[in-house]
Amino acid sequence: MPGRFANLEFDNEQHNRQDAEVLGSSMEDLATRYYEQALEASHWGQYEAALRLHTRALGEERACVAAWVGQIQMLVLLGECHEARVWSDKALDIFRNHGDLLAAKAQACVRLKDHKTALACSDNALQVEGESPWRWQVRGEVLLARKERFHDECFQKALVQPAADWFDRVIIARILCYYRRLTAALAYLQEAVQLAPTHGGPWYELGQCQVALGFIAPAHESFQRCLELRTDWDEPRRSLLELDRGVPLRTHLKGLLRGWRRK
Amino acid sequence: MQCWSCHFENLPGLEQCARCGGALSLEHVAVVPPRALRWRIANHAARIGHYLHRNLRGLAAMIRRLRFLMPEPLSGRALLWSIVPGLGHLRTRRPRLGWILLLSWSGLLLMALLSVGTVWTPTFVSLSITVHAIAILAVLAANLAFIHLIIRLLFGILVYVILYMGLYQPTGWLCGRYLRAVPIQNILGSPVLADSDGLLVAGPWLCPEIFDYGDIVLYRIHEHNANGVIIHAGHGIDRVIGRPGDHLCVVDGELCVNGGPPVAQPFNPVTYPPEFDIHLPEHTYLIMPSQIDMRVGLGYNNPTSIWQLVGLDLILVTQEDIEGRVLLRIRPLARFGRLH
Repeated sequence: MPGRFANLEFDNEQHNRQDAEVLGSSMEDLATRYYEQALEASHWGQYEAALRLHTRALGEERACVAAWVGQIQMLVLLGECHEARVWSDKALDIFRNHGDLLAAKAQACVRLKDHKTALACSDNALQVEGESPWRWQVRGEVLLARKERFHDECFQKALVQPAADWFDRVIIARILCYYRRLTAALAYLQEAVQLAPTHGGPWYELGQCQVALGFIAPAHESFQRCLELRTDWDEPRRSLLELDRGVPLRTHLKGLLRGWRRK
Repeated sequence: MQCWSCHFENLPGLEQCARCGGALSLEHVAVVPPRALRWRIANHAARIGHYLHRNLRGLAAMIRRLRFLMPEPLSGRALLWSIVPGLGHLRTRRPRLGWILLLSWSGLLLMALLSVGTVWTPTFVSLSITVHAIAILAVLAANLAFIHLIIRLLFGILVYVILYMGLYQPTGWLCGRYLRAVPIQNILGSPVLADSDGLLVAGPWLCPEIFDYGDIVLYRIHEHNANGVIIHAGHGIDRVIGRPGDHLCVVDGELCVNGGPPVAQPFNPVTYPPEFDIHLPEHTYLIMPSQIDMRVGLGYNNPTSIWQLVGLDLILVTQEDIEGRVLLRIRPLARFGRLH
């Protein structure tokens, strides 16, 4: 849980508005800028920063549904699923039957083990107008949580959507990691890294997945690549130090076992 | 003005979408999401609050959907005020019906109170509950008109039963904790009390810690079967002669309380047991059963021998056996008032 003053922000909004006025941008552009910054933070796994930026984007443009969805996604990723559910209800009061919001609520519910509501919301999300990779990703998560078949088909369906990109593979990998399907997550992360080799975010997530699987040397390499692409980021540096300090024997054995199984 | 949800074009100035009911203005919408609190207990409390709020909203939504059962508008205020029959109609501008219901219900309740102990009491109580049910059904009349006669009849019976079990029984019990109406039967009679009088007795929640000399009390008599004498269980009513801790003795046939004459005397003259000398223990009173009609067989007409047979069980009454103090005589009306 963050400390009392961890989220203290000094008022840069006025400064940003002045900037926008000087550059001739509108408030909507400001909202878009914040939203893009939030997406970027989410790509790097900085969920708190992404949540703050989504909130700022909404402060400029309350009708930006993507920012509402982003807030709920970040709350879920931060483990605050109850709050995510409450917030998704609030958003759905305003934007009724919006597919992405329904999907976000479904994710919050499934992480709270309310599978019935999650399935209902996911069904509604797919039935309403519009399509997005996010709705199929959540569908896959709901089926995965209920231990039903065809969850992988849903993930594949998400990736063939027109709006799908490398980050959707990372989202799927995060979902699979949450449910401890590390091997499947590894495959998606490797795809993401191939599609975006110059972005450090998927390299870092790949390294974490490899550590969890016990593949120490590949994890080391992944963290190194991440550091090369972003030298000012502390997380991969810290992970490398931990690797150098030594990995628990159990993790080593897990990696060896997985390696033999592959052969 | 386009709706954010359904993209319907609404007239300017509206606050809600005419098609889907969604909010049109987002100016006052909060955008900062709730966060988990620092302390785990506060988190749990907040989450329980959210859970209850969500379910209450669902319940309210379900009740709104059940409106199809009530096609005509229902005056909730009239229904609520009908807890006193007639008041609901008076508050919703139907004075004639309201006064008829209110006065008839009040009159029936009064008759039930005054006829306590007679065969008419249950009748008056039933009639007052019936009037109450009629008052509630009159409020629902517009909706009941659509229903089949048999179902209306069953609904009326249901309302009666709910009123009896849910309102009158608990109210009667609660009132009984404070005041009770008690009919007096099968007593000898005295200048103070007559057979078939009705008395108002204080209930257990109004009982004092210690009764005073001369208090007229209603007390339980336990069944006694010894020495060829059978005393049936029942109730007695008489004055308190001796209180806990008093020294009582009989001198020359007269009772002495703490060395002096007693403050109060029983309703009827009594013969005290000979060689009577006793310190009343804690929570025990001396009450002479002067109202009880003691039928004794041949050979036992000697008052002295009665006490030899019965002992002191009949006159030493514990605090637990005293049910309450008599406050008023309520019947017959000609002698309504306090007992002297």
